Amino acid sequence: MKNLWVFGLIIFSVAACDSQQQAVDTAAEKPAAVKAAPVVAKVAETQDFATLIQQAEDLYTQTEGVKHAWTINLDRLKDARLAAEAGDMDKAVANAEEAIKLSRLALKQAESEKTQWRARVPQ
Amino acid sequence: MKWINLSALFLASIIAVPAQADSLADSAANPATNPEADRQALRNLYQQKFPNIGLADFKDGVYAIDAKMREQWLELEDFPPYEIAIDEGEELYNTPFANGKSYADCFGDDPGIKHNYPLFDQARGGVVTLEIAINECREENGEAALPWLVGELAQISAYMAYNSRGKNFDIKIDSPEAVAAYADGKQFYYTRRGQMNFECGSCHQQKVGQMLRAERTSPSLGHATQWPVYRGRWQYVGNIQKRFQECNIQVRAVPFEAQSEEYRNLEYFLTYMSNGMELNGPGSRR
Ligand code: HEC
Repeated sequence: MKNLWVFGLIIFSVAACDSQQQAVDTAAEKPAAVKAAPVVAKVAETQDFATLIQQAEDLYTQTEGVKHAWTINLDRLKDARLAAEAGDMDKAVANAEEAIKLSRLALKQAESEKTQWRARVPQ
Repeated sequence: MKWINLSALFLASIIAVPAQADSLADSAANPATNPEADRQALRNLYQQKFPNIGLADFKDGVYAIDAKMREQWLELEDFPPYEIAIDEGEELYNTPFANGKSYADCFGDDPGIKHNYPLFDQARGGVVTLEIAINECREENGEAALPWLVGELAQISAYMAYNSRGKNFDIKIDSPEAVAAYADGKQFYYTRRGQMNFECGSCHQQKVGQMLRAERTSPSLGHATQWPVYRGRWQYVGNIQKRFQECNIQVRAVPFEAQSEEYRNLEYFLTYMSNGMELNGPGSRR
């Protein structure tokens, strides 16, 4: 997390160097920090998303491995990637999180069905 | 060297112990699979659910249990939409391969052999569907395999099914390996899948005959008799595994590949449930 802040500040300072005039006008510390926030947040979000989507895809692969993959999961993964490409990180993260949740349910289904199916066989 | 052998033995013993415990636990929870008892139990279920319908009538699928739909279906059968597929299949079947041989060299003089499929091939240790047999015949004679679900392969099976009309399914399960493939298909059938958390029997046994998005669900008994099928929605003839995929997708489960081990074993199980019943394919469905 700390690294992200440093990274964000570097990006901001590079941006700040470009506009000397602006730097003079807003010499006070406060507005500068306010300006930095969205950039930092953006970087942090992108990093968070990369971790999330990786986790979502790994879990999906696990559901495939136990033969209980759900189609809706593919939709969520696709929506997540498309939203990220379009820069809508809120939507991207929400979809990745949904995919993770759904994969966990699918894995639970696979586990409980290992025995549950027997009860449904007509006797 | 000695050390390596000993450690290998040690490793083997710790791996073997849990495996053995596992299989013991499994066989305790898993009484020997008896396909014939399963088939009888299913027939009894339908006898109880539909006391006024003869078991042989379930070869007509949903039209066995819905008089109004049956009437429309019989009207349609006057000009059956699968007729073209039979004709095209016949022509394909009788056209010699480039090497001068033909399907008859693989299957004999009577193309009506669908009642024996799927079969378990002991040599390869797996289930062989009619579609696999057709494609293997092609490949043995230097022809390319055809796509599994629709098109020429479905037309050839339509022609073979037509020639099998009136024969009864004679599916054999006569080795421990064949029983294992059947058991796998049976487990697949009764396992809930997809986000909707349904197994095949949810719609085709428990809720059989109920309306589901403007379709009445058909009985599982007789589910194998009429393939391939011309469906109004498809506007062409397709094979049973296409239907498996659609039913998986309906419950939001990712479908399996056509002719995958999963679907071959499923088809083996499902067809065995129709064993002894009359074939009446190709069929037409809405
Ligand atoms: C959500 C309910 C549902 C589930 C679960 C379901 N099906 Fe179906 N199935 C249908 C409907 C609806 C149709 C079309 C109407 C009918 O039953 O013929 C159909 C049709 C079929 C048919 C064709 C019947 C015919 O006469 O042409 C077969 C075979 C079939 N399903 C097999 C399966 C198998 C195998 C599974 C499990 C992998 C399965 N179904 C799971 C709803 C379902």
